[in-house]
Amino acid sequence: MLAECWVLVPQAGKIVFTGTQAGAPVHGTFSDYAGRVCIDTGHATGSRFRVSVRTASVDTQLPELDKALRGPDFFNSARWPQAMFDSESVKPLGPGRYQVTGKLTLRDVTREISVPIRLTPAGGGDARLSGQWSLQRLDYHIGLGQWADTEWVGNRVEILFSVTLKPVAGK
Amino acid sequence: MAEELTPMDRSTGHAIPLRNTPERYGIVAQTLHWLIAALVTVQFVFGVKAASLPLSLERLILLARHKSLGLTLFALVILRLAWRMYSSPPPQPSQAPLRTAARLSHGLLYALLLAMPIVGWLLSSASSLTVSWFGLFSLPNLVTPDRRLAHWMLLTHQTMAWLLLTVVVIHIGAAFWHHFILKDNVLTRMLPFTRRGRRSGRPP
Repeated sequence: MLAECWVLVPQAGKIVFTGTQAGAPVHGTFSDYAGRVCIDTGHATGSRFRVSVRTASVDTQLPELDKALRGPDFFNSARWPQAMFDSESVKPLGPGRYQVTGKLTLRDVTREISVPIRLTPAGGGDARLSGQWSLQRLDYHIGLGQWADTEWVGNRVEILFSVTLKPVAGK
Repeated sequence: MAEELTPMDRSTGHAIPLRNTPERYGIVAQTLHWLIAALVTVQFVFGVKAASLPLSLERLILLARHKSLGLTLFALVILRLAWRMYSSPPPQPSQAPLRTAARLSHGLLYALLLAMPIVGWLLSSASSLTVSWFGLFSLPNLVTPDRRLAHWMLLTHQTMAWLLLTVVVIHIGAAFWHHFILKDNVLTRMLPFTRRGRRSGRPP
């Protein structure tokens, strides 16, 4: 069986993160992302996830905060414009459910992460890829200097994504 | 009236009754008055300081405390108004212009003390910075993030702060004027540790 491949449809979906400030949640979205996803359930090595997110596309509805997040203390978008995820390990968990293990690169840090995802039909051959997981922002040097404080700016950040995939031919 | 007095009050005549009497404010009204006065001062200092800072951890902490204290203040003002309904305050000046001035300034104080936290809450909601009470619980957002609304709410909140400062200065000025010029008990009846009925006529 050949691998099924899709590309992420730009803008059609959302990538949301939720951090905390002073104990209250603060949300933001990334609107600019791209990627290609191949799932080959028949072979151990045929699957591949490559997704990139342009960190400067962050939007918290607070221009001042967006500017700070793009700046050197947080994403440093000028120096590292993209957050990257690259995986060749996709394990089926059940119908439409997979465990994707791969390398996440944020700023100058690359770490292995494992994310459970769902793949559901979205009509017209499209699919919806969704899931959620969390990271510790300081693991990726997000929040330098004064922002390394975790009492007022929580270390844990929840990521929620739901993006539309369009089928493409081949690998 | 005896049941309103603490035992010490009966023995010395110095301690303050729990409830308001015609001569003076009781301990509950006095505590609320001075607690609110202290918190308003802290709020003003925090707010002005925060407004002068760029986005920073220092400003985040200041504003977090400002919001927690603001919510506390809102609850205290409601408690104060409720107590005022339960236990009538001492009478206002009997002369018509003074009475009107007192009513107007007190009304304005209460209105600002109630409106400012709500405007602040709207400002936080519109800025997508949810209000948390000392990190123990969060308030729901009143509106979805809205930059224009946030801008107007900030302007309103700040204008109200300066208006409140003005009315507070008038309030303090009026208290001193009553005390030193009119030589009545308007100031002393809101002070602990003073003999009740000092400067004023005997209780009826």
